[in-house]
Amino acid sequence: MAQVALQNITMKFDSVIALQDLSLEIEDGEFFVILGPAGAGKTTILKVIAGLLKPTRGRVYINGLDVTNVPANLRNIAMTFEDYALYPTFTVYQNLQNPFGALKNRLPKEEVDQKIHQIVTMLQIEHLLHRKVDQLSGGQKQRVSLARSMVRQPRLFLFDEPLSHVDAKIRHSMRAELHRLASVLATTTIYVTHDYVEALSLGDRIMVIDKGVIQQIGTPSEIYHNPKNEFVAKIVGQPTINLFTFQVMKDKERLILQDPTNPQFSFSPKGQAGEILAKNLGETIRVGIRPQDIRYSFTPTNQDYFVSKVDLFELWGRRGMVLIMIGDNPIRILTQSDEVIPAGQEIWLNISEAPLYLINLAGAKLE
Amino acid sequence: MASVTLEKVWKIYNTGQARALEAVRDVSLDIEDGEFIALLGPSGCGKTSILRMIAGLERISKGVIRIGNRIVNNLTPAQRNIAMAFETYALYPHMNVRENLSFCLRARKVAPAEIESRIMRVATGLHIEHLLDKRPSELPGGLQQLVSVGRAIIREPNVLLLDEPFSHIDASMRVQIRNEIKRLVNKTGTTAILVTHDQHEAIAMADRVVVMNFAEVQQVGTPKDLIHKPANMFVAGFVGEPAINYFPCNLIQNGNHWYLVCITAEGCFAVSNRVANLIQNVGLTDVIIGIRPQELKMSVTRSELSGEVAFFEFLGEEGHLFINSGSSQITVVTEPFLRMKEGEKINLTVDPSEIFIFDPKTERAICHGIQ
Repeated sequence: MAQVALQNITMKFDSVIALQDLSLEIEDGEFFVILGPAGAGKTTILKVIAGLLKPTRGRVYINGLDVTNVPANLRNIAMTFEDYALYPTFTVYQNLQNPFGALKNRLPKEEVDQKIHQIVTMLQIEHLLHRKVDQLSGGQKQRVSLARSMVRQPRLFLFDEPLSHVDAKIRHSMRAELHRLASVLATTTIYVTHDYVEALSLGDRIMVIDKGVIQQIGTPSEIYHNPKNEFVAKIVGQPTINLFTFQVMKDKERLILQDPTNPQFSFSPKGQAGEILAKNLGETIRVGIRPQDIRYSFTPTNQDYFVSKVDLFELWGRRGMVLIMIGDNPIRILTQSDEVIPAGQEIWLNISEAPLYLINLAGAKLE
Repeated sequence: MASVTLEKVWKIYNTGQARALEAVRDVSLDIEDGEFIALLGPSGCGKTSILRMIAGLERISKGVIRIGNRIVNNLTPAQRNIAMAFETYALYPHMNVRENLSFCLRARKVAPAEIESRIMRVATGLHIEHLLDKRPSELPGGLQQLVSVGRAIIREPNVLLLDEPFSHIDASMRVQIRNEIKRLVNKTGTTAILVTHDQHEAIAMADRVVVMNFAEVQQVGTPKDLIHKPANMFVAGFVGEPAINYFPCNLIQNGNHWYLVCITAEGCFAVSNRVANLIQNVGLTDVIIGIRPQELKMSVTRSELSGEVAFFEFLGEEGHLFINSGSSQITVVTEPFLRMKEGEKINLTVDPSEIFIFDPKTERAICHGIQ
C-alpha cells in the first residue's frame, strides 16, 4: 500500500534536462500509466521513484515520508524491466527465490515456498517452475518477471514497458491478466508505456509526458476526448486525429472555418464549438477531428457535405480506413463497416457535425 | 513490371547433412503483374527465405521461379531487375536524398534530364520533394524508409520487394508512411511483394495475402477471405485482432434438430442438417468453433452464449469486453462506451454465417457458417 508524490522534480544529465519541474500525486491502489514517446523521460521518473536515480532538484514522498535520500533497497518497491532481467541459467524457481536472498528478507524456506506457490498459481506458471529461463517464450519470461516482482509483496509496483517485447496476441491476454492482478492485489502500480492502447486500457489515470514536461494528467476518457493540447490529441487514437489549419470567418450570421490555402475547403460547424469560435473570429487556428467522427455518403445530400475522391482504401479488420486528399490536406476516415471503397470513388463528406478539437497555433487547447 | 511465378519451390539449408533444415516446403504461387502481395507469418515461417530466393540472394534448392516468362533460378540479382527496400533502410549516409534516389541511375549513365524528371516524379509521388537536399541522418526513420522505397522504385523494376519495411517506424507515423508507399506503388503499377509479421499491415495493404507457418503456405486469399473464410485455426488465430474466440463443442441431436453445445463455455448453437452432415462425414462428434470478437453482439431477446462481465477496456475507437463463461473467457468488440458492471449477466448472439467449424485434430476448417 503506498501513496506516491513527486514535488518539483528536475533531473539533469550534464546539460540535458530529462525532467523539468515535475509534480504529481498518485493515490493508494491506483493504476497510474505514464505515456510518452521514446526519450520523453518516462523511465527516468520510474528510476527516481525507485531510488535508482537521485533527482537534481525536488523531493520524492511515499506515504507522506520524504524518501529522496533513502536507498533503493529500503524503499520496498519492485520494478520490472522491458528486457525481463531474469537470470537466464537459473530455473524459474531459483529466479523467484532470488528476491528473498537479500539480507533483510531472509525467511524460513517453507514460507518462501508458500509465497512463490501463491504467486505462480495466480499467474498460471506452476508448470514452468523447474524450467530454465532461456527455455521460455517471451510471454512466459514476462510472466516470470512479473511473478518475481510480486513474491516480495512490495507496496509499489513499477513497470517499465513490460509488454513491448511480446507479440500482439499475447499482449492482449497479458493485458487481461494485468487487469485481474490489479484488482486482486490492489497494490499501487506505476506503468510506463509508449503504446496508447495499453495506456487507455489499463490506466485509472494517465499522465502524458513529452521532453520531460507533463502534458496532461487525466482519466483515459479525458485524455482521448478532452486533450489539453495538440501533442496529447495526436498520441492517442489510430488512425491519428486529422488536424487542419483554418481561419475563423463569418458569412452573414454563420461561423465558417476556411482553409486559407484552399478556397474549396470550408465548412460551417454545427456542434458546441460555436462559442469558442466566435471568440476567435478572424484568427487562424488548428482544428482536430477524429477519423471515426466524419460522416460520409456516396450521393450528394444537403449543402453541408462537400465532395471529394477516395485516394486510398485500407481494410482495418472489420472496418475500413479511407484516405482523401483535399489539396495538400490528407483526411483519414475510419468507417463502421468493411465495405471496400475503391480509389477514385466520389465521396461526400460531412464534418460539420463532428466533435471538433480546437487548438491555437501554439498547440494549446482553446477554451 | 512483371508477373512472378513460384513452382514447387523448396529451400533447404545444410542439404544432405544431419542438421538439414527445410525453411520453405513446396511453395507454389502465381503473382499477377501489378499485384500487391503480402507474405505474412511469424518469425521463422520461411517468408523472408522466399523473398530472398525471388531476389536472387539465396539459391533455390528445388523448384522454379519465373519473373515474367523468364526462369530466373540461375540469374544474378542484377539480371533479374528487381528492387528491394529493407527493414533498416540501407541508405547511403554521406549522400543527400537526391543523390540517394539517383545513385543507380547515374551509375547506369542515364541522361541527366531523364534522371531529374524521374527524381521529381518519385519525390512528388511520395511527398518528399522538400527533403531532396537533406541527408538521411536528418530525417526520422519513417521518411528514411520513403527515400529507400523511392530509390527502389525509381529504377522501374520488374518487382518491388519490401522486407518488413515498417517495423522500425514510430507507430504514430506508420499509417502515413504505409499510405504514401501504397499510393506510389498503385500509381506506377509495380508488382510488389511485402514480407511482414504484422497482420494489420498485410490486411491493410495487400490485394492478396499468403499466410505461412512452419515453412508451408497455410492459405492464399484476399484480406476478406482470411477474415471470413480462414482455411485453418492457424490462419483464424493469426489474422484478426483481438484474437478469435475458440469454443470446443459437442454435436448433439434433439429430435430432428442438431445443435453444437459448448463444453467449456455456456453456449449452444442450432446447426443445419447440412452442416451436421459435414461434421459427421469427417467422422467427428467433437469440433472447435471459432467466432471473431467483432461478430458477437449483446442481445436481450436471443442468447447463444452467456456469461458474466469480467472487465471492460476503453480503447478510443472501440471497446473490448471480457466475459467469463463457464471456464472460458470470451472477448467481444463493442462500442467505445459501455456501462457494464463487473459480474453483470450478459447474453450474446452471433450471425450464423460468421461461425467457423474446425476439426480439432487437423485444425482445418470443416465449414464457414452453420446454416
